[in-house]
Amino acid sequence: MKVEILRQHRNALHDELDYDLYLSLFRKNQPLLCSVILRPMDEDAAINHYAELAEMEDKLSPAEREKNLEQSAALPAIDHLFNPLKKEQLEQYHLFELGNFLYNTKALCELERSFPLDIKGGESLDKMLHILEQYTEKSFSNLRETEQTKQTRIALAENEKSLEKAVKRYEKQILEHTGLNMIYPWPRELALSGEQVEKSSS
Amino acid sequence: MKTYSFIGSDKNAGKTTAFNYIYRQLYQCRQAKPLCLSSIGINGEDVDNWEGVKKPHIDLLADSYFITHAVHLASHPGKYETLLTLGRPLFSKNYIFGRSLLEMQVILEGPNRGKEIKSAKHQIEPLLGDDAIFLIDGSIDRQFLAKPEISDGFYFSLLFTKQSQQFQKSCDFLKMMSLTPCCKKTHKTISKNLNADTKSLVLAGSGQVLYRGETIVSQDRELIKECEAIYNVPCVLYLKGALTSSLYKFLAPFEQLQLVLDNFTLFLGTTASKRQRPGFKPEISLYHPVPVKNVFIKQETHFDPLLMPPGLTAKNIFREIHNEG
Repeated sequence: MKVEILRQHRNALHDELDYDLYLSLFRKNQPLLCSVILRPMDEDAAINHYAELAEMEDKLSPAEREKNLEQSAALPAIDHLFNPLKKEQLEQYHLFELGNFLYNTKALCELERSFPLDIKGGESLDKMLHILEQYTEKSFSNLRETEQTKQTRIALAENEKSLEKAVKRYEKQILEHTGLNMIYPWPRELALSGEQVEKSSS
Repeated sequence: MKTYSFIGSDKNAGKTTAFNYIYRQLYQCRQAKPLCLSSIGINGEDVDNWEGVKKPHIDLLADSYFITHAVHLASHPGKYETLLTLGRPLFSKNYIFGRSLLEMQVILEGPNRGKEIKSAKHQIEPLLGDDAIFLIDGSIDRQFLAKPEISDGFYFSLLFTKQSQQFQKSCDFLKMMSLTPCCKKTHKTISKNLNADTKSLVLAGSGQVLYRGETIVSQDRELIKECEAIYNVPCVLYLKGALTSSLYKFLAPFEQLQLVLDNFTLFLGTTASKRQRPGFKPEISLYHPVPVKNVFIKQETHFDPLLMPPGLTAKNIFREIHNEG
């Protein structure tokens, strides 16, 4: 989280507050809150704000608050994901990010006893997690493989191996016929010395 | 985890080719050691956007780890697994740390700031294990690569052509590799007097700090004045800023001076080849020595193996005959 003071108030607030000390009071390892701009509040807003804070502090023990903050820090920033989601163009890694976000949100909801979220929201969360778990595996890292895709992947890997063997055989033939050793990387970047050219054309 | 960075003397010096070569060598004899690849710039495109020439591809073999910008994975669904996302607020872009399930041709574009790389290393190391090897296709203009907390070793690619500037640049690289680490006593004195903002230090023979500069070395007029005052006195000058041609020329007659550069990248400014070579009297050493893993050459003209610093050999992966020093 990047914390800064609104430009036009920067000097005044800088004079009034010990800037570094003040900002050191914030927990900044919150990816979900990428950037926060501090601005002055009017008196009424400040009274309400501090009343709310006091109420929260009454309900939450320091240990609970610490746990919640830690869990919040595990929530990844997913704002870059909203556009592709809207356009129905999610990539594989988006599923990983979304899955982690939902999984950690669920853990945060379970931790949160003092200010619980509404049940409807919880149901949607479970539904989305269920869909993601259905189509991905290994904690959302991979697309779930069917038997057919698994076999195709194995066949592709086998083909790669066969191709490599065939290329090596071909290189060996070239070496035997021309005396040229097809070293890596070949052939585009292979430069020949005069001696080698003579050897290959003789 | 060991991190090795690849540096080239010039564009098309064969850095990516050396990167691919070492990757494949390590892959073949890795014995379950995880290999991870990343790049400081964009690497693996078909054509060089600057010069319009074809570039070597980067073919990730199955079961290799990588860090790249998320956009480069768009055409590879099902071929990799996502293990970690490296995104905001610590990173300027959205990078993916993943593992290839199949061979895939990928464009590598990893974090390119020191803080980002440190943070990436910190996050991937527990997932890869202590015996992992992390290869970074680097760049000479990224000084942070020379920090010991970033790179454990370097692979250099040098281009020897008939163009005198390119040739001289490669010779400067070789000269840089022969620079020795500063002595332990000097190292200790410098380290005691360094802070995050220090750009230069002038130390008397006794170790007393005569000057501490916190502005960019090439713009530090006070530093020049201080140097003028110690012209005939044995002193140590520590620099954490490029040894530009004007500074090189200015310091050339300082017979009594021991010049300590923070790292090797400072010796290789863009103007290095324009320097007047003969007659530089201060002894130059390095605060952070250069752990050279290997030197690759790409020769389009004659290369004299005797140019190699003692103990190092040059490998030409573009030709059948290797130039051994």
